[in-house]
Amino acid sequence: MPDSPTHPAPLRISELTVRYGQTTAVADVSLDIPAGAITAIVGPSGCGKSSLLAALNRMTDLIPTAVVTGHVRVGDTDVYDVRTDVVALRRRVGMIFQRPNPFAMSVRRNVTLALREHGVSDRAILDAITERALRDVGLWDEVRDRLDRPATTLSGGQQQRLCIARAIALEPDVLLMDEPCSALDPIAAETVERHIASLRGRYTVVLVTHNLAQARRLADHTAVMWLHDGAGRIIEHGPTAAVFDTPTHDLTARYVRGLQG
Amino acid sequence: MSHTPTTRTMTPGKPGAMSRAATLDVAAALFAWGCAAIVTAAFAWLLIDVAWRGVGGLSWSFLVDEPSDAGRAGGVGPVVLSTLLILAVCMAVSVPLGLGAAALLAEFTRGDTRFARLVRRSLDVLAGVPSIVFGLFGNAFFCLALGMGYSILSGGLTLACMVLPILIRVTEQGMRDVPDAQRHAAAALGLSRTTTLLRVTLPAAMPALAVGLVLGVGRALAETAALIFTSGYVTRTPASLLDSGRSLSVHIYDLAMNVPGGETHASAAALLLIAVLLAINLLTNWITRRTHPGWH
Repeated sequence: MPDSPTHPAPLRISELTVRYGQTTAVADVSLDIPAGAITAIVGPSGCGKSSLLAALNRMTDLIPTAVVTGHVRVGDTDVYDVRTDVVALRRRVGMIFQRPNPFAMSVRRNVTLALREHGVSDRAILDAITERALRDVGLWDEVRDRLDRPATTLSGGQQQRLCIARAIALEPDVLLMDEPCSALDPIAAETVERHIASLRGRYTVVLVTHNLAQARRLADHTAVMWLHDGAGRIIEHGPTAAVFDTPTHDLTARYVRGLQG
Repeated sequence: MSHTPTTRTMTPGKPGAMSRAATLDVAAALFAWGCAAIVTAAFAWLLIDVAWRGVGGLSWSFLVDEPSDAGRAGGVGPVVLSTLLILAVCMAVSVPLGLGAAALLAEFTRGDTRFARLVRRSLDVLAGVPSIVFGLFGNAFFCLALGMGYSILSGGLTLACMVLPILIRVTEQGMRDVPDAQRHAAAALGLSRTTTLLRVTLPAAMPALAVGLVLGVGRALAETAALIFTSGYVTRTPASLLDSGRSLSVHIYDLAMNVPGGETHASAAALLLIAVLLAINLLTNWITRRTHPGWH
């Protein structure tokens, strides 16, 4: 298991709508997300970016009022098929949240808990995966002496990198990131950003951010979401350079120049 | 507003004059300190009083000997044993039941279902029911209907009924206070609901659980009315859970109210009871700290 390569999978979103009770958060979104690339979803606050992201690994299941219609395919898996095993799906599609949310347990247990749940019990293998995941986020040298200390004693940036390590330890095909740097100080954010960039090629990364500069630095592709008739829609998407330099939509042009949103 | 005298007294640069806000701050601080001091003093007084009267009667033989002369002489050995057995029965039943019910309320019912509301309302009512009512219920149900008679088992089960509401509500609140971010993290990693409960939510709710346990044990240990009719008041050493036995609180009550000249031994037994409570409190704290160092 530790040496198996990852298989970044493409995502195909078609006619996806997310409603919370009477409000529509995401309306009729269709988007192809290429495998192994970093795709940014940008747009002003409240335009449905996070809701769109949460619908991709069915975190919307946890919100009692949420109703999702449309289709999402991760590789060959139909996410909203009734036969789809949500636990297995979320193992393939990892998620990083805006605020670092390590478990209130040791650094090591944070990484190994889900691995044990998914059937890895050999201590040597667990140790190897833990070290590799922590090295991937540049945390190994910082925490190798305190693997058994509570994760809550780490700094905010370290906690966020631990959360990324915890997710990639499961060798997912896709990583969903919901504004992973916005709760961090600039230096910690820069470090986290550098490690996100290093994930390119190994995972399909979908990055929600309201930081346009970050999208421009990190993303191969960018999709712009906008609130239209009270619901979030994608108004433009394409290669990042094209979206920023030669936008076709008037709102996009104003948004990327900082005039709107 | 800016023309009222109040604002004038608040302007800085008048040495010696205290603004109204500062006076208020001092008054509030004095009040808060005063309240805390009164509460602490009341507890200290109680403790010193009991210790003063009881410490003379405490000895190793008092702890292990059988009572004689209706408790005026001898010790409390069988009473301590009965107390611990009743407590053990009570906890063995109420802790697993309490955890299960709390988990159901906090994790598996979506907030405000009719069923969850009904359970919560019942628990709140139960928590306020006078203990004598539990005693009579225990007597009618466990002693008579189920044929357990006056026994440690009947007493322990009656206490469990009494302790459960507190235990469940405190534990449920503790589980609810675990941030949703933890549950989201667990779900996003593909952890099942059961694993999330056992490995994430429950450990994070441990401190609250310990508080619930201490409150429950405290109530159980202090209980007299619920036990007189269920576990009885015979002072002999119980041979099994189906024998009757006298708990410490019943013993204290009996010595203080029914036995002239029993005050010294009553105080000694009361001191012992407080010591046991404190010991359980410290032990629970210690265990919580040891198993969950991140949570203090």
